[in-house]
Amino acid sequence: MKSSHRYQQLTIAALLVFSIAALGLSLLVGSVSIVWNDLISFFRSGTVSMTTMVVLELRLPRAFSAFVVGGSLAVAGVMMQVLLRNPLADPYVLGVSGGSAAFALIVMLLGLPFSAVPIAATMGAGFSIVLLILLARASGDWGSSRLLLTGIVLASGWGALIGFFLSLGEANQIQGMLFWLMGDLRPEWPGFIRILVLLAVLIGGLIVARDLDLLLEGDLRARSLGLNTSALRLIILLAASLLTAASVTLAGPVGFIGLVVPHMMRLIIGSRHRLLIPVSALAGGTLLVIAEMIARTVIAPQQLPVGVITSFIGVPVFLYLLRRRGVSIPS
Amino acid sequence: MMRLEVQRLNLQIGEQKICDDLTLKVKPGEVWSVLGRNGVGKTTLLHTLAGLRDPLGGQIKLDGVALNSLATKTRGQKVSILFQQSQAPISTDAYDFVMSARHPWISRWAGPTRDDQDIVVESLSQMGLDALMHRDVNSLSGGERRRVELAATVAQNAQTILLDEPVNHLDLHYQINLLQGALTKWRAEGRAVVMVMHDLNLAIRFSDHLLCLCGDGSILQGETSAVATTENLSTLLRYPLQALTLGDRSFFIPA
Repeated sequence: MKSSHRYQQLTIAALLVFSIAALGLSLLVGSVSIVWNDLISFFRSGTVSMTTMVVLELRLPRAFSAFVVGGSLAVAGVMMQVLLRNPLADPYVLGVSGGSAAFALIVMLLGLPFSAVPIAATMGAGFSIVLLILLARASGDWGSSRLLLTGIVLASGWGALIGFFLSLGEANQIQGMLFWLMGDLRPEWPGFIRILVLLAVLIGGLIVARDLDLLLEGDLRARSLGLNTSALRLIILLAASLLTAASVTLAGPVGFIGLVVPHMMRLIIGSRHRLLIPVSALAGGTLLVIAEMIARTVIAPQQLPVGVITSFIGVPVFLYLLRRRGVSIPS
Repeated sequence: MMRLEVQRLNLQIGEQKICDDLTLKVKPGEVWSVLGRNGVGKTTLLHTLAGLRDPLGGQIKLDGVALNSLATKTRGQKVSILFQQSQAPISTDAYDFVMSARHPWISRWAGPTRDDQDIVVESLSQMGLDALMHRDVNSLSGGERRRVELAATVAQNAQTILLDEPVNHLDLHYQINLLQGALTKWRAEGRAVVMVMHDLNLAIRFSDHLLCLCGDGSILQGETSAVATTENLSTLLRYPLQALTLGDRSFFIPA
């Protein structure tokens, strides 16, 4: 057995340590380096120096956002992989993030109230997944290449639509929009609702973990073993859409987290969702915190959009998986 | 009471009639074989009996209760189906695969109990798989994999068991062992078995009733000894057959 109880506990403990260390490190590292004295004087006397301001108002919220976005995308990836029975499914690669971003942009350009943006983003993600299912399933079983081709074409379609809207935009907004579209984290807090969405999916995911395991074995078998697969699929669809929308509205379409993280975690702890879901959330959060830190520092004082870093990591991993005929999900 | 009862079942794939007005009564402890040429809808019939497909008309009852009125989970406790082919491979070890067949019995909150674990180990052992328990299902040979699937059927512990070509891919001695061992046990336990069989002689030897799908919607059914005549079988398979008698058993071979 690959995952004995002790091994699982060790993995989770190690991930917790990693994630806290990554968060701590990302507060200390940056174009303005933190001097310990500043922190000490802040805690002793409450005097806020320039550098503590940087930490509290820029780095802390951004690192926290990175954690929530990374966790959400990783779990969205797990959900899509069950839904499509394919380990290569990822919200970014298959155009779900793109659909979410395009819908959000349309709402903004139409000048609808700002509160409509998250709803539109969720609908865009859901619409994209449904489209993917309808188009790729026409042939019966989920052929891996057919699904990927469909998803990639959808992604480029959304990309073209977004490009069209961008070219209508005003010149001074273009750079900000471009950054957002590459996946960019700004110094803001993730917001209550996004944390709530992630927590709700985590808890719900644990409750239906065994059902998810079963669904992965195929629709017919799952149904014959007493699983209401259409209801479960609908829930998964909703969860993946909400998570994607939560990330896209905060950080734009950040790529490949949903692909890389679940894959690494399956190699370490196996495919059982009871573990895979929480562990992926932790690891996804950690990975994006680190990526965000790199994006800020690698050409400091200039900053890169974090999506550039995740794509640098994700593209080779994706190609490697594809080459390994990534149809089966390792146990 | 009938374990499985079908009333006026009407099934069709596209334009092709599978059965029209089929009435079937399977008592506890009976073993039925479904016979028919390729493409007459044997698998579709089995899927319908398992509740995986809605018929055009008619009703199916398990232990007197209408199949479509059962909650999905209860249905999984009452009827199990062994598929002809398993879907695209997902890696999982044999133990986990068989454990997933316990799903209808496992409580969402409590998880698998000691009993479930024992049943899984026992089922694997019954199919001679003790040594392969922790092997990845995808690394097994076709026959070994078939036995894992059969172990899952055993573990599911349903009173009505549907088998779609159960001895596909199996070595000869496993074919006979399975049909002799498992069917005898299931008969004694009062379960009902309906299986699609490709091998005419195995079907005749191991089942007490035959259900023949003729391909035009008409059905021939009854006790094996009454149905299995040279004339009936030749018409069914659309090829002349010849009976050979050895001791008190008849074998049918192509003429």
